[in-house]
Amino acid sequence: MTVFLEIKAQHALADAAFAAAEQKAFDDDNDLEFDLAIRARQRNDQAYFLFLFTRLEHAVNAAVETLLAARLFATPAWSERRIWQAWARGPVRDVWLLSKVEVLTDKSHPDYAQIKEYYDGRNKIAHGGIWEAQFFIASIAQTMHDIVQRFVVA
Amino acid sequence: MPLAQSSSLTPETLTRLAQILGSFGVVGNEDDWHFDSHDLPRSQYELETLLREAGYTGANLRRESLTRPHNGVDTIIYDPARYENSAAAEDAWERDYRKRWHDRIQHRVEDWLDRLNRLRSNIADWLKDTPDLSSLTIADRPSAMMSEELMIRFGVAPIQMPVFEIRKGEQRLVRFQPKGLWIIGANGRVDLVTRNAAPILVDQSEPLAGRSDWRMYDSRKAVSVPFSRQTFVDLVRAALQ
Repeated sequence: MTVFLEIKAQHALADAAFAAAEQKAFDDDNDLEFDLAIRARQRNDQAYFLFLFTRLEHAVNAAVETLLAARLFATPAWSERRIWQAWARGPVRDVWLLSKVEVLTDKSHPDYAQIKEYYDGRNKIAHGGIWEAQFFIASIAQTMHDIVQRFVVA
Repeated sequence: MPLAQSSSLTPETLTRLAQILGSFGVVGNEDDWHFDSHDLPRSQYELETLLREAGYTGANLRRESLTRPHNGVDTIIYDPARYENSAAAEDAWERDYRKRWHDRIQHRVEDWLDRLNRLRSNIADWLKDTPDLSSLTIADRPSAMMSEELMIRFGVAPIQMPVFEIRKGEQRLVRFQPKGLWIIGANGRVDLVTRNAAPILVDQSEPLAGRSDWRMYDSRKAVSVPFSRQTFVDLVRAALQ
């Protein structure tokens, strides 16, 4: 089980608790409590999305490290090796995320567009832009799991 | 002229750019076209040669960096025979860009409202066609206003999303509470709530696919299942117990 599926399972447990609060408010016919429960469930999704995104960044960095190691030693020609040497000079985490994604998946592939959507969503939350952002965590976690398996690191 | 292997400027992209330049006279490096301004040849001659090979027949092109880069767009290419300077080309591009996005967002919003209304209509049919549930009614509640970030940004007016409940007499059994359209991970979300469950209904279809793919996700089971007549009937029957 990857960390994404682990988080997906963890989120399901937490979401069930927030769902129970919605059920109770509905059963009590209490609109105020209902709205609060909906809001709390949404905040939980946002928090899990950020958590998932940090794991995605970590997976991207790990994949790029693997790719760098493979290319640095397997590419004898300097003309081919120089870009990897430049990247290897500093910490991979300092390279812009989408540049790293670009070397792991074809930019015209849907995986790139999907990660960019996550990246934009992450930035909007992190910078306070859309406090109303909504997520379907089960699908996002599964998709991140699938995308990471498809990274080309050879 | 061969393209670099890593280039986002595919032959299809170049053909599309050439067509837009021919018809409108200006094009920007928008996300939808999946090309990066860094992939453009540095030489203007090379760029123009590529676009002419892709079908462009207008005047010699110019390329400019936007004075107001936004939404990832930082470069325009324009036909100076159509626009006297880069500012005029940029204004024209931006007006067109905003109009295209406004129309696209408006279309998505209308499609979302249609899908919600079809969902309500399907539910009414499912109730009517299920003998032990046919006496249940659908009651409208105050609608929920939808004014999402993209709608605000591109000037699309807010709409009201239908909120409704299935009732047995005065007893409330299931509430359908639409949450929104632009959900990361889904093409729209509706929360369902009963006294003993609160599953999520998400449309997993592609945007504007013309057909919904509603799936119901219950976090207690951590699985999603197609939202069919049977899953709906099971949900309502459980709420009746």
